[in-house]
Amino acid sequence: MSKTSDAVLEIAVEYLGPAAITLLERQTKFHLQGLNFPDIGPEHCKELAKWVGLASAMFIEQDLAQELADKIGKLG
Amino acid sequence: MADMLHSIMTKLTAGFVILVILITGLTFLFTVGASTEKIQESTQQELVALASLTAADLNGDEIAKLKPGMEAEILYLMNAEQLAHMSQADHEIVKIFTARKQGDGMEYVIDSGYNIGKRDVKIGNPVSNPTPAMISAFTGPSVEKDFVERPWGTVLAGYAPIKNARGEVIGIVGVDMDAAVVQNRMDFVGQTIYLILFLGILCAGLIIAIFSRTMIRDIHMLIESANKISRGDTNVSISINRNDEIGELASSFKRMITSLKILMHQDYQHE
Repeated sequence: MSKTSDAVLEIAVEYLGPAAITLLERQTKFHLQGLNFPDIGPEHCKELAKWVGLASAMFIEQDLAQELADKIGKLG
Repeated sequence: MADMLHSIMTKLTAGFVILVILITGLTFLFTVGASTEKIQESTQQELVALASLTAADLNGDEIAKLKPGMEAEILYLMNAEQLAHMSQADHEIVKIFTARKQGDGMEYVIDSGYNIGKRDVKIGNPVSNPTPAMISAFTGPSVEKDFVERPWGTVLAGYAPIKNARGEVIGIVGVDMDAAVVQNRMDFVGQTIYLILFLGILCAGLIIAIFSRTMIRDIHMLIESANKISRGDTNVSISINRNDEIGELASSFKRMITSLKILMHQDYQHE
């Protein structure tokens, strides 16, 4: 796991619980050209944040999903 | 009924109420005793002060001249009026009198109620069972430790010596306060403390009830959500915003539900 993926996972777990890794792996794979989540770097954070925000809004409140996306985006 | 008995709300409320009652009970026990004692002490000081003031105003030589049967004479009437004036100045004083030694005992001399229609004793009427406080008043101001019986009722009394021009003690002046007035003063303190404690318990009870009610309501919400999820319904929303342990539990619970939803959603997509 890269430093960035560790940091992203740490933030996402606070909002999405233990299944956060599942959501992050899925969003990375489908929206970051088949990249594996453990390999992401700071340059991927802005794009990942956008998709994580959209996907997590299906499971948590909209404002919390936006807050999560903002935090991930700031890692980039 | 059994559920209610075992609920956290009942246990919390009962625990707090017992605690409050215990604390207030102990406070009451210590405060009422000390306060009523202080009230009695201050009343006694008040009586001694008034007796000393009255004694200083009286002419000892004139009083020494008064003999039985002189109640209609100007000398008696003037002194009786002076005492009446003093006793009427404080409506809580039931009587002011003067007395002197007579043989082994004591006799009354002037009664403050004599010329205002409240006469109870004449010159020379014996003082039945003079108290140690009355006897010690011949050497200096003194006060009854407890209520005493007089021809005019039960009273608390203060005494002071009356001196003549040569500085010799010729008698004493007694200032009597009705026992009911003293008792009312002491009861007032007790009643006020009772009222304050009652209001305190009431407020504590209300605060506990409100506090435990919101806490139990949130716990019930969590239980309801857990029951829904255990039956396969993940469409639950938990709207608990607290900064305490229950709030922390609710946040953990929300995360758990979110994870469950993510995993269930993924499985559905895989299918």
